[in-house]
Amino acid sequence: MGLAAYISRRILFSFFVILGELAIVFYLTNIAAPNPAVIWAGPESTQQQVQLVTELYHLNSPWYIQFLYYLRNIFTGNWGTSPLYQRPVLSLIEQYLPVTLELAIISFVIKVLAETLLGVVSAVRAGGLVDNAIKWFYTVTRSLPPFLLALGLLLIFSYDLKVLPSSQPINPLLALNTPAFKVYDPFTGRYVGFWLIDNMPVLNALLVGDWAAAKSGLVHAILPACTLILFGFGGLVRLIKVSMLDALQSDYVRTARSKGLSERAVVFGHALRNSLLPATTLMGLLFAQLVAGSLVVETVFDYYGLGYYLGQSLLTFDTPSLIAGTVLITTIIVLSNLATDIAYGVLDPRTRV
Amino acid sequence: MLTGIALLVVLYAGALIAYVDPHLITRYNPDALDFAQANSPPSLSHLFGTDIEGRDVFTRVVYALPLDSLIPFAIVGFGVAVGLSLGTVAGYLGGAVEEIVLRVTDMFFAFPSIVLALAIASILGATSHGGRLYYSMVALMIVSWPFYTRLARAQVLVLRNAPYVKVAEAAGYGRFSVIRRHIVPHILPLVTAYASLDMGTTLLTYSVFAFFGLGAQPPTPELGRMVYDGLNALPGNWWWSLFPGIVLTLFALGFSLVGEGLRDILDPRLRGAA
Amino acid sequence: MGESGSGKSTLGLAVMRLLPRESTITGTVSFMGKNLSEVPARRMAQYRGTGIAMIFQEPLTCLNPVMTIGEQLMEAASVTSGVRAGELYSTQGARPQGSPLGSRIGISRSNGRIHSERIVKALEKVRVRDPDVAVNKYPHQLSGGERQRVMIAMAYLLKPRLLIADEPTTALDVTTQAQILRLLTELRRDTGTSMVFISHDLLVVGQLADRVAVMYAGEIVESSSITNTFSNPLHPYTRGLFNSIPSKYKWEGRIEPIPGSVPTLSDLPPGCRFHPRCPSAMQICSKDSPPLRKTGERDFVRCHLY
Repeated sequence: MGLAAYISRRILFSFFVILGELAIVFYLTNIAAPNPAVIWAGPESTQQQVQLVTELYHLNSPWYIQFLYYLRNIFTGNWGTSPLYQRPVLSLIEQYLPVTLELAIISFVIKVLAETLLGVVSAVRAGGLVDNAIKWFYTVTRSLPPFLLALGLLLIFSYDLKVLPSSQPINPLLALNTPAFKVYDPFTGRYVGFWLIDNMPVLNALLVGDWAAAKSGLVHAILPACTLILFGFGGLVRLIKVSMLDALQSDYVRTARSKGLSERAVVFGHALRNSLLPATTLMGLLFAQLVAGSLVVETVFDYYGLGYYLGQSLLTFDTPSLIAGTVLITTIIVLSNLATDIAYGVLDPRTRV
Repeated sequence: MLTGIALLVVLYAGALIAYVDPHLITRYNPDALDFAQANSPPSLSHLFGTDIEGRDVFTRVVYALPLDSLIPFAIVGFGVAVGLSLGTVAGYLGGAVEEIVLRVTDMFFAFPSIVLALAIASILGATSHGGRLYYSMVALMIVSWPFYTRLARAQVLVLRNAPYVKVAEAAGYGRFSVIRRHIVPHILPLVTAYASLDMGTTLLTYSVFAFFGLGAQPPTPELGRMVYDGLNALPGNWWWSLFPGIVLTLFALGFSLVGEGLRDILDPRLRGAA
Repeated sequence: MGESGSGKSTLGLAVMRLLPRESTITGTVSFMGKNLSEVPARRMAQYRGTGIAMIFQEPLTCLNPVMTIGEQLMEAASVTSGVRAGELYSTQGARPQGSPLGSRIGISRSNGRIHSERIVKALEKVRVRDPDVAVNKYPHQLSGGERQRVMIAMAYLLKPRLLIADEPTTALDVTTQAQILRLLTELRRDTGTSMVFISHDLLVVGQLADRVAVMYAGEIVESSSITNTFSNPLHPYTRGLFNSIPSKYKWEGRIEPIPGSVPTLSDLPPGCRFHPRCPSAMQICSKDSPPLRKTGERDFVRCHLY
């Protein structure tokens, strides 16, 4: 199978996965709350308004008809209105998604670097004190209930030591209201383009050149990022270690040594380089873990991102937000898995002809 | 691995005693309110302290053990049962059955299980408070099986051509009888290893559900719920949530140590890497 | 030379100090006046490559599957250890001028071009077809013979004082074997490198070697010039080896394999290690292990017969 065919098959499959998840969640909301018109119309709505909402969302039709309408609305940008915020879901997502993405990307980079390094160390020093310490560290952190870990860090660093902020993505006083990129589109009359970047606290601040805001954003990100990094910590360490041990005993490493390469060049240039290939398969999963973990982390740290938003909608049964948030997180995760699959196909020279 | 076994033995012994006769361990009643003793920190008379209503935290932890020790078994047990049957049958029969099972499995496998399960539990739980614990468990069951389907199928593909399977087929055993007698027993050890690992994570995932208010409803003593209830009292009365949290951690630690030990024994490629 | 399992490769790897970390090495490895077995492990890299290099039996697994041929040759081209510069330096500061300091695979841009020319030249020398194309290929895209050529090209680039070739032709078919052997002979002529050629194949050894050391169960049992070994083998094991191959000079003889097999090193017989299989074993052979006895100017044999 050619690479192009493989990729297009994967893309098609991803699309069906997202559609399937959307259908399941939509169906469940439908049986759990058969007539949400009253809630959606708001607490002080009149009979007429309820009637209007019912017609607008075709709430009298069977669920699959409603689902089709919902699908159409999703593609035309109408994601429903959140009864909790009384705002269109799409605008909420526009505000919250970038915050989470930024946090996830920061954590992802640090997590991958840290775990890779520890994996290398524990392979080179296999069986030694450092190796065992690393192993115990991740075995215990993995077994902590996620929110307990988050709260532990919160209590220690914010309440006891008072060195790090306990909540919010950025100091509200420093929050930027001037996005770096906002392009006015004269045809639609809307601001388009870089809305994702506009709502990323640190990146936007950096682009505008507001160092104080950037610093505040980073400081606020430390605790949530640390917690995210510790969630499921060790999976990559373990994988890197296993494949490094394999690689270090391999014939090509022996060849590399016999060439007179320094130990560092052998470990990083040959063994690690080969071990990173199987590690790429884990990247999608890691990113997925981070995005899913943001649910707990952002709720604990009041970090106003997608996880916080979804957490709130879970607690308050804000159905439109719940569906949209769930599907969005699914989409991110499916896409990151897709990217991983493609990356693996492209990176491994042996799969190329 | 020995540490893990020891941990689990102690915890499950505790759970058993708590189920049979909790008074062997504690002299308090888990629901007895004692406002004179409310909010007292850990001491000799109240090992884990008391909560806002003066209930002994240690006693409530003990009473929660039977329920909490069964939660991961129920969920993972369901996943293993469904996954194993689908996987072995699909792998052994091949053809259209395999194709269909694989597609559905792939689809469920690609879902971010925690998020989907949270959504399911939340939606179902909206209708009834009392049933939330069970809805959460159902939600986790729904997302638990695809992994085992894949694992079982992969193993079956290897075993299908093993000589003794061929011999059994030649001897005229029916297909399902071959699966039951000759294939499933060979897959079980590896499945057990992964199931043990999975039970640890499942318990932790379940605790996330409790955190979002989707766990057992008061006054049922349940560890995840107790941690959740104690969160509001932080940082002052830390013992409300810390001790139940530690017990949860010990459960998860025990399962994951045992699981890793088993996996290292059974999955030779990973040996020595733990 | 010796049967499989006699410890030939292990000896080669021990000289290179490339055995697994758990292994212990005793005795001395004297190389250019230095005892290599006493060099600390982290300094050993200085002696490998341009000092002693090694070619292995299985060229597929010996090349890194995710690096191109060019990248892997580039490493060889840019290795600069003190040995090639004419002296064995013992202090850090004595690194010869002009070689890139710091990282030993550090490839500065100006050197990069010179190196890539050298790589293409080396590939031409070992007669790899289209060297310009081959440098961008990955090992799995080459044939077994080509991969071994690449390994020899590596030796051309390193110009080691000593090259240990560990059964470099065993995994190849007969015609390719002959080509590789010719390349190795040319390499020896062109670079003046000394070569230790490990083989179980008497005919190959006969074509290539000046001196032969026969190994059995981890010991050298006989060591002499090629003519002495082939015309006048002393040790019963060496004689057994010659009897077990068909030869065009030996019309009347029958092929007589040596009975039994090489003992495992964990279960060595007492006395002479060969005596259970030896046709001329005596009483003493099962008691005392014979020392290496001098039988000629540079000839040695480990046997109670002499």
